[in-house]
Amino acid sequence: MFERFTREVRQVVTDSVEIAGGAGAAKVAPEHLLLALADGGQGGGEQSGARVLTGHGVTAAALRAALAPRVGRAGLTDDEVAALRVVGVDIDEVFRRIEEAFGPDALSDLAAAPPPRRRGRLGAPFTPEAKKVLELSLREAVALRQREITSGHLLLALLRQGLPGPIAEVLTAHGVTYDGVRRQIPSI
Amino acid sequence: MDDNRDLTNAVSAADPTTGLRAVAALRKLVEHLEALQVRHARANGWSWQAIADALGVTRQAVHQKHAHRTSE
Repeated sequence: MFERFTREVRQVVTDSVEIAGGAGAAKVAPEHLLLALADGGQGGGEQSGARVLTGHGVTAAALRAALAPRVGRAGLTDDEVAALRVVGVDIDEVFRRIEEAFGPDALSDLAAAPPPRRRGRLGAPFTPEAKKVLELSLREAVALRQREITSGHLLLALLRQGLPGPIAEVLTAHGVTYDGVRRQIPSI
Repeated sequence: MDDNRDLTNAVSAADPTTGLRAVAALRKLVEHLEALQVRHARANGWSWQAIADALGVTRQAVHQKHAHRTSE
């Protein structure tokens, strides 16, 4: 399958590993693939998934912003903060003292976040959902009778597979739907 | 916030999902605190060796991990 990916898609996959690492995620999830795709620029021509997104007014920045609220102070998600409370960590007091000692930005300062974990490309782990997206992208290419798997096929696969709520809302709000994109990408 | 507290009370610390998530959260918190404290110590003129001693790790380990984001 991988040998059928265009150079652009390979770059997207590579970038998604970097993006997931930078976000502190242990594995590459579909949303990291989408962010990498949206970052991808114009390299893939008319069928570029990035171009389809831009054409609908969806920017990488908007997608990032949609994901960002899920991570709060010290990079902890709401679920994680709740879990700490359950096991008896007075996390609000911890946060209060850190901000008192190091200033109001101490818990949001990205420089204080753990460094992105470096992983070899071959060892890059993907969530089952992300793996499924890569498989689906092959299916999209086959269905459209196209030899190469383009970023357009990857975008279709992401839309078919489904994305986390906040990102899905951004896409829906801009009219990016599976059926719509499918019509935009002509079969040869 | 009140909603969060209600949720908190509704789940038990014995629930593996919650317990494991708390462990993951503590790791993140430790990394964050370590970065803050190391940067602060460096800004206060601490040597890498002194920081390493306080953390109980080797000087190489702490330098490799933090040198890229603290001014030398």
